[in-house]
Amino acid sequence: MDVLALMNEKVFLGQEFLTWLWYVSEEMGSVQLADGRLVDVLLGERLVLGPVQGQEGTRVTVKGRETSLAEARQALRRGKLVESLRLGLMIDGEEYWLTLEAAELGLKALKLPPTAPGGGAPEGLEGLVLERISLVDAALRGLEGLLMVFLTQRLADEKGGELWAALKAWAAGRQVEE
Amino acid sequence: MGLIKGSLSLSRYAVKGDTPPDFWDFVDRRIRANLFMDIEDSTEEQAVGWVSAHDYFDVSFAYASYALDPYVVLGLRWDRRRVPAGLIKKYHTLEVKKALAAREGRGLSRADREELKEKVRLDLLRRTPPATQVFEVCWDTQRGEVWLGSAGRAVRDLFEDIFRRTFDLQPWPRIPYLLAGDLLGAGLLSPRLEAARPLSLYEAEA
Repeated sequence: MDVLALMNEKVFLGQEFLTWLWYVSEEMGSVQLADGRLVDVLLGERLVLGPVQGQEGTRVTVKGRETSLAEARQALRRGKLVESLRLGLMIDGEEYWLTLEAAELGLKALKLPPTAPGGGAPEGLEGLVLERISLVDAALRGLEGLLMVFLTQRLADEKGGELWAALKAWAAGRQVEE
Repeated sequence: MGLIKGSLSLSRYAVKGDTPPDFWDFVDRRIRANLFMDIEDSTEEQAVGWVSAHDYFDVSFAYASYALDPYVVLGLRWDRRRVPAGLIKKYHTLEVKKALAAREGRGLSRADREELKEKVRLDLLRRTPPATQVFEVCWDTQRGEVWLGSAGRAVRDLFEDIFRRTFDLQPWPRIPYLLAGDLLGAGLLSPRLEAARPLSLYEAEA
């Protein structure tokens, strides 16, 4: 299996997922996972949009709140999709912040909820590491839950089902408003 | 990565393949066979190996300190010494001048100059302490997933190589498509995932 070729061929999945997360943060606020849990999705202060796979074009990077989001929305209307974004997730009452990249779904600058001080003793350190591992795990499972919801709707038919229709309406709606 | 404090960056891998029945003994043997070897007093340009995630000077792993069942938590230490090209050029020029003076004007062959250059490079390498970088690695042996505390390409290449060599297991990057395949399993949506093509929002403007 040539992972690099596969990554290039299927990068659109990550772009579409991240774009959907932006949509969720603006239009829904939260998503119910298959296991019934609710995950709140918040848009952070960094968004990078790039051309849809197979097309050429420049990247648009926006930082900060509302004013620069207008630029991101404009890029969205021109057909660009999200390549990277800063995201807040509220999972089981705990808040996580992370930067997600579309190509590999790698996590950057993941900020975990606070943990109890571990102390200097080795057993304290072990406990702290295990606690932080379980928090990372919770963030990753939350993300996977979101990806599963996205996939189930996106793959409903070859045109992306109701999910893609909603995304189109969202993008077009913004155009009408502005 | 920041498993002890601070924010984290991580790359995810799926680890698939059979592991031996004496799994934890196997892990212990393999880690100890691939420990970090210090290059402080040498001219080696780089060294890579496993260290404790909490203390990169610790390669003893007393009481199998990497084992936090079901996790294996390790530090991947990468030491590199680099001599700037400009510095090599400077000392090479000095050495060439010295050699020419000693030979009272008789020229140096190309081979002589190359030999001097290599001597200078080795001498500078010996005098340059290596820079150390450590990346946390957390292997969830139950779920078959590894987290590497870096998103950089060079570190990922290094990790993929040493993980494969150490444990005879291939770490597969969990890119969206492969992760989606794992999540969907063999159900109805799996062939649709394979057939999926990029969609565009551009039509919204029509």
